[in-house]
Amino acid sequence: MDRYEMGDIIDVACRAGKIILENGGETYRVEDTMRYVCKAFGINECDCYATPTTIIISAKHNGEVFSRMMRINTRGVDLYKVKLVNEFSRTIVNQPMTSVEAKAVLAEIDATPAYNLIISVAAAALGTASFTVIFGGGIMHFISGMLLGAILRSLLSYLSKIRLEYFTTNLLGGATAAAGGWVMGFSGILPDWWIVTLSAIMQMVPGLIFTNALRDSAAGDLVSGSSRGVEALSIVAALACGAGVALMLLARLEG
Amino acid sequence: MLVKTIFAAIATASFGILFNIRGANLILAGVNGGIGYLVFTVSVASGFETYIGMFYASLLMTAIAEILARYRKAPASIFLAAALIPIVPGGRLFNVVMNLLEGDYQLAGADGVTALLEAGAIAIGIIATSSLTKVVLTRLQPRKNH
Repeated sequence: MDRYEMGDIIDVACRAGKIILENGGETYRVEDTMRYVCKAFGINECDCYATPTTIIISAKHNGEVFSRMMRINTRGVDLYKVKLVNEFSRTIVNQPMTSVEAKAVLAEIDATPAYNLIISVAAAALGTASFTVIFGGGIMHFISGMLLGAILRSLLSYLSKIRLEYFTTNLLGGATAAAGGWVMGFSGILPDWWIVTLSAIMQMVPGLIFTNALRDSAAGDLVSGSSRGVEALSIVAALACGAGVALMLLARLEG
Repeated sequence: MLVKTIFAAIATASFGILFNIRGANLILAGVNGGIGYLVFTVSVASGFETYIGMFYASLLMTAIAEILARYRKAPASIFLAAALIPIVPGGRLFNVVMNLLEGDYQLAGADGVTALLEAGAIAIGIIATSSLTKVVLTRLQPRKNH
C-alpha cells in the first residue's frame, strides 16, 4: 500500500462518516463506521474523532502518520442514507473492494433522492391532522390541520432550498403556524384554534436531534451530546419565540 | 383512547416520511409510536403523573427500537426518533409561551418546570435503555456487531 492509496482510504472513511453525520446519525456510529472502513482496507491503527461539525481521522501505516479533517456544514435529516452507509460498512468488511469502487458506492448513496415534495407535503398534512385528533380536536380541526400542515411544510422546504440558517427557519416556521391557526380561529370557523397551531408545530419539534443528543451522551460522546442538546434547545426556543411574537403582533392588531 | 393511539401511529409514520424512512421500517416506526402513546395514556389514566407515563413510554419505545435495529439491521434512531414525537411535551411548552404572552409568569414557570421534568423523564428512559441494551447485547453475543 503506497502513500496515495493510503490517502484514498482515509478519504473513503471520511466520506462515509460525513454522510452519516450530515443526515442525522449518532456520533459513535460515525466513528465506528470510519474504523470499520479503515480495518477493511487493512489499516489497524487508526483513531477517529467526530463532533456534529467536524470529523478528524488519523491513521498510522509503516511508521508514517496520515490524517485528514472534514468540516460538516449542513445538517439535515435523511435516515435512509444513514441506513445505506451502515450497510456499506457491513459489506465492505465481508467483501473487500478497491478505494475507487468504495468511493463510487458512497457517491451513489449521497445522491439518493429523498421523498419528493408532494409526498412530504402530504405526509406533513396527514401527520398534522392526526395530531389534532390526539390533542382532542374535531373534524374541523382535522381539515384545518391538513391545510396548515401542508402550508408549513411547503414553506419549510422552500426555506431549506434557499439555505436559510436553522434558527431563522424555525422562527419563521413557528410564526407561520401560530399566525395560520390564529387566522383560522379569528375567522370564526375554529373554536380552539391552538390545537391546529400546536399540531402544525409538531413537525418542527427536534425529535431526532434530542434523541441523538441523549444517545451520544449515553455513549460517552460528551462534546457531541451537549452540542446537540444545545441545538435542540435553541430550536425549541426559536419555535417558541416565533409563535410568541406572531401572536403578540396579531393580538395588537385585534385590539 | 384507542382512536388516539391509532392516530399517534399514523402521525409517527407520516413524520417518518419527513425523516426519509422507507418501506417496512416506516410501518414499524409507526407501530412503535402507537405503542408508546398507548403506554403513556394508560399510565396517565391509571393515575400516574404525566412524566412517569412518559418515562415508561420512552423506556419501552427505546427497547423496541434497539431490538428492531438488530433484527432489521438498521440504526435504532429510525424506529425511535419519529415515535417519540407524540409523547414530547410540545403542548405544555406551547402553554408556557401563551402564559408568558398573557403576563401570567407564575403559571408559565410552573408549566415550564413540568415540561423540563417531562423532557428529563423521556431522556432518562432513552439513556437507561440505550446503555443497558449495549451491555446486555455484548454479553449475549461476544462477536462485535454494530
